[in-house]
Amino acid sequence: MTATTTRTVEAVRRMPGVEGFWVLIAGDLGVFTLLFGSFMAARSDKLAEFEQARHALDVTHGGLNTLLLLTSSWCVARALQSARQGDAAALRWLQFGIAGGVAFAASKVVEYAVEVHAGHTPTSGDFFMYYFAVTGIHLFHVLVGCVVLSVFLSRWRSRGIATQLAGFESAACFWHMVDLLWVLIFPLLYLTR
Amino acid sequence: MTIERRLDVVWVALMLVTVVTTWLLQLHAVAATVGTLGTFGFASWKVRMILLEFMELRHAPVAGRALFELWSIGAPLMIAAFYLTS
Repeated sequence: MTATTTRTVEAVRRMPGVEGFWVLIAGDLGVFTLLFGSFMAARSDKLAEFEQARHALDVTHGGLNTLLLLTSSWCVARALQSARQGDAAALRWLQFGIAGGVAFAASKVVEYAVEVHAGHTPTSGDFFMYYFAVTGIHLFHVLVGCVVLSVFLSRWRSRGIATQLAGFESAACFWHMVDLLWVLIFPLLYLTR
Repeated sequence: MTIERRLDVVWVALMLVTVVTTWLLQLHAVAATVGTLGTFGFASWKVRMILLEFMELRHAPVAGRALFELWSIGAPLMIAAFYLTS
């Protein structure tokens, strides 16, 4: 690579969206890292209890939720690409992305209902205290993401697709962060044996 | 390869790896340690792909990209360290 090419590449390198937003993303990842470490430390102290409680979770349900969120994230990434080209397909991709998020949230509520019905609540022990806390905070992020993406969908419909692209880049990055957090939460709670 | 095609390929790969870690690595024939560490190894790769491709950090300034890529390795490593010492 020549010096000129290198300078050109460096000139176009940028963090997507509003740069300050990445501080929020880094902070969120930091908080969840502390939760992950805290969970693993508690697990170390009560291995047998955590392993027994883990078996009460439905791995298939969790796995399908992971596939749902990955697909939703992919749809939002495709929505951004379409929006940059002014392609009306952006609306459809974004609708699918939001639908994936709503389906994940609904699925999580069903999972909570099943656990509570089986007598597993946040006061049932350390494992379920962490389970409801970590997945609950994550679910809150999912709901916030759904609302923010829905606001952009509404604006795109009324004002045109190419409006506020930097803002949408930030919203999309938030949504992908929700996805990648679940990519670690799922094996942490359901698959660590 | 277009950006759209690249996103499609990454999505398919993420889905396939999820199927492997959720259902195949959890089989009783797979030792617990191998299954768990393998799952977090793949999870680290999945997080990195989401950061680089979906969040477009592949085109970010080196420092910004490095910070988040380090997290994609560091967080699963921390979990693995706790797991191995418990």
